[in-house]
Amino acid sequence: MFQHKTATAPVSLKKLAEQPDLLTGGHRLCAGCAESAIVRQVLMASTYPVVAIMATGCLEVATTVYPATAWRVPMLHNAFENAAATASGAEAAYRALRAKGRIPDRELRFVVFAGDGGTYDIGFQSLSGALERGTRFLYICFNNEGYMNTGIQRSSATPLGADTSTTPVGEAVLGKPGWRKDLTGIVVAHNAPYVAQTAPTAFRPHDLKNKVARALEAPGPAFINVLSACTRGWRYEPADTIAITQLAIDTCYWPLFEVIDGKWHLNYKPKQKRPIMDWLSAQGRFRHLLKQGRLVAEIQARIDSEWDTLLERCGEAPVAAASVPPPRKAAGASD
Amino acid sequence: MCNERGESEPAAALGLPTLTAVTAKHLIEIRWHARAGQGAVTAAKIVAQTAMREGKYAQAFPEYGPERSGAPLKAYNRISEEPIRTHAQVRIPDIVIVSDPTLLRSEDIFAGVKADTVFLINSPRPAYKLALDIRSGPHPLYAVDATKIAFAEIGRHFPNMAMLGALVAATAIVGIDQLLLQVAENLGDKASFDAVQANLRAVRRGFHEAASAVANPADAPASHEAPAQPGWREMLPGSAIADAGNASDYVTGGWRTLRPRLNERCNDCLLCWFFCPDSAVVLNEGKVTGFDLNHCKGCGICAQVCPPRLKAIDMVPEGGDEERSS
Repeated sequence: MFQHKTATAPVSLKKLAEQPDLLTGGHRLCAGCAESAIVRQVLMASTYPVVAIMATGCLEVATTVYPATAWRVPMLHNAFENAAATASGAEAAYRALRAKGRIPDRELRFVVFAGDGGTYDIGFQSLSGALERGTRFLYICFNNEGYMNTGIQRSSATPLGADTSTTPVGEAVLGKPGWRKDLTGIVVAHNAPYVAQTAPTAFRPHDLKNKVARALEAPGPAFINVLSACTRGWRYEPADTIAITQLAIDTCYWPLFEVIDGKWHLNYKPKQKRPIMDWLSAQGRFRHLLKQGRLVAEIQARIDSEWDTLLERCGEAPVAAASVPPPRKAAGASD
Repeated sequence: MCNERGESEPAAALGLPTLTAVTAKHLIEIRWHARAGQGAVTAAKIVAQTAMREGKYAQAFPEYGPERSGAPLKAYNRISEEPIRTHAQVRIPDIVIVSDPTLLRSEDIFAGVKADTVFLINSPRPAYKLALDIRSGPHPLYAVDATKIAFAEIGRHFPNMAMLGALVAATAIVGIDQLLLQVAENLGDKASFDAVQANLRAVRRGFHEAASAVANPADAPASHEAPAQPGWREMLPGSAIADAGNASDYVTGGWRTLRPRLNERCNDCLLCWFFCPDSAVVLNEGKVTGFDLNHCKGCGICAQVCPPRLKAIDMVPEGGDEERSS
């Protein structure tokens, strides 16, 4: 058991602003990309020196255009599939060298940054291995729900009905056919001491950094799944990156919760769930669903049941059911 | 309004390279300055395909790194009566096309130009005024308000269809009829009938609305240097980069079309600073003092996360009213 509560007295933004930025501007992520904002917040949240390890992805190619790097912390990139294994190796080497007195004796933290492609799919085996070995590290998954770096292909994090270049919408196919993988749940099943889900939003600006601070106190592997809005892949205006993430939380599409030593805690319970249509209709990748009432109802039902399961795990009372049934008139008509 | 016919002289009267002068060359090289996502790569491809349709040899290829939507990019064309041996980037262009007016601030459009290099620029300014403003000196310069045409005809910022028409008007590098056929053929597969027609209208308007001028020949432009060839240096083992954070030397401010402006309602809550993806909100002793315009990409997240009761950040168009009057 670790003292996650005491480890995380909330730090004000003013206090954080006294530290230098550990990720510089001049990286080449899209205007409005959530990833670099998330990285900045993660690095700010750590009171320890951080060693960053990256899987292949947008963040990696855009922040380390040789011979330039936007990172002011040590950063390692190995390959797409082995970020967690690389972290395991680096952490073991660090521990051994420290024990032998060959390097300065101080506390470091190893933090992996990987996309959903490098986590849910390609890097899954190395993540599972590192979790099982009990490597002491923090794994941050930037979940933008697809392979955005290579041109918006579907991943196993892509939600039902999303239009991607490998699940294109046509007469027979309405975007991605299956439900997304519950990776957060899978990591919980590895008995990692700290697992959380979060997203950068202005209404709960401290959620992400507080979770990072707690995760870095965990005695073993910690995993945080961060919803990371993608202006190109989701198709919305760059300025709306943070606002759109808010919709994911208010519709219970992406609940904020954490699992500490196997115990589930809900971090935010909307007073009233917003209908899933609010989330779908804000993004171009779901535009074709607006006339698919039956499919939207199916998505709503699945979101509702997952939310109920989560409430039960967290020991929370159910929320008043969404008072807004099938969101739009046109929705029901075209079934 | 701009591009008023009365303000421009016919190309021949000004001693500009007339159509035959450009087309008589064996090899014509074009450099496009554009922003990713505005259709410049497609336009360059259409130029090459039209030339091939006319029995010429042609190349079209873009140059960009991992930059994303809105980033400046270059694209190149080569067109020749004879087979083309060179496959490298164009260093000494015969024609320079600038398809986004905001690029005039950030891109070196004069790099490697010759005395008779023709400029074709998307701008709401009249050609003669633009020539004076950018000090294009003796260079023949053509201006067309391709942004206005794109919004009027296509409804989105795809200025490069109008630029294609204007390119033909300026240089007759290919025939306008063949160009229209090629545009229809390229778009026909993926676009609706109405969308194809809209694009064809944009090409035709570009063709008719391009206007030319030359500035004072004595007013030489800033730079005629060809871009330096990159040198070489030793790599560290494992492609290590020893200079942490040196990406901050790289300027991404040129991606921006909107600029954040702070007003007096700011109460230094720092949310803009906390959510800025480009570390571009400048603080001094815990107070927001401005924006790092070398790195700000103009995404507008800062204005969005600013509490609604304050709304202390306005996004204003880059380049002032003159450049963006349409």
